[in-house]
Amino acid sequence: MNEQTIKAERREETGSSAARRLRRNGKIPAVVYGHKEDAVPIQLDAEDVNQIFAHRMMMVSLKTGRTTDQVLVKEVQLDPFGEEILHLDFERVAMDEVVEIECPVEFVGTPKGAAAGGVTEHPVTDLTVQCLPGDIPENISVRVSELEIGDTIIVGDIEAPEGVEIITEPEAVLITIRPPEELEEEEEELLVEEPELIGREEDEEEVEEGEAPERSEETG
Amino acid sequence: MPLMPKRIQHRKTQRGRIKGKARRGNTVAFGDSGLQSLEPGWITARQLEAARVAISHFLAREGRLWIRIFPHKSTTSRPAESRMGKGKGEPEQWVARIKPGTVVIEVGGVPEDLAVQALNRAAHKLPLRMKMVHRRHAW
Repeated sequence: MNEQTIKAERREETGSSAARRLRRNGKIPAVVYGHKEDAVPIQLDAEDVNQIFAHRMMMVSLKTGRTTDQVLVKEVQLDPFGEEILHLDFERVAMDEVVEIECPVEFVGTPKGAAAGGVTEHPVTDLTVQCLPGDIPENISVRVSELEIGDTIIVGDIEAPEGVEIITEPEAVLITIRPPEELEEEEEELLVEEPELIGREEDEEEVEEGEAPERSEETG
Repeated sequence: MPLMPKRIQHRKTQRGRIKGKARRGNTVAFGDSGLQSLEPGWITARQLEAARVAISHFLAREGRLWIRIFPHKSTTSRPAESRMGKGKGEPEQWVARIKPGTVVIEVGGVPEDLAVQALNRAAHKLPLRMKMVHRRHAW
């Protein structure tokens, strides 16, 4: 796993307006916490932050003034379009202390079942793992090329790399090859026209009362 | 059959205003790729159905589709050549209110190039500008 020293400055102003001002000036607000020390608001250069994000660096050496902390990138906040980084959370860690992180799963190969017309579904794309900061894996590879239609791999089936313990529940489905769905008949659908129902009881009574004479006129 | 609510409290609603960006439902959560709205507006149940049909016809029996929005809001219209007044028109169609950033449709279980082509066809059926987005790993 990559590790890099990044310079940070202590941030005096806090709050959304101050954070917005910072971002306009090419800085990204962040916070460092953990190890029973106070949470410290900091600011980083946007370029450094983009590098952290692009290379998915989990561990970083953060130099704030004279002190250098080994920190884990705990959370990255993005804007609704997933384009801009808004804020970062760093957690101080000791190198001999176990940390809990989300680790991406990489599927290796194309399942045989998918080539035969099956639909690949992978509801879980990240696993929660526990390991020492030095052992953080970039991803956990799962070989899927032998999977046929109807086959499933659950979290309990995969082997964790050395020094890594998987915390995600073992019954969680990692990947499954589903048989292809039957095509729906659209002609049948066009004929069905469902009337809306009024939710409130009072309204229903009113509607029923109001509609009753009309019905009697029609029938009569 | 276009989507519509099963039970509602009021038949007619005021138009309202769409403010802000989507703070929820702005990431691909089920499939591998999706369409994200870049502007606010309404998507009608018919447009959504057209997009769904475009994708399912293109992908035939492959892959899976998720529609992440639902048309909860009714819109009314007046009969043709009718004078103004005499109250609000009758409910005509159902629409989903879309904030910028909302992921509207997702596709999964197909190669990325196929998913992109399918979503491109669907985007042409929708009235708002859309962006192709892919699933991101959790941090």
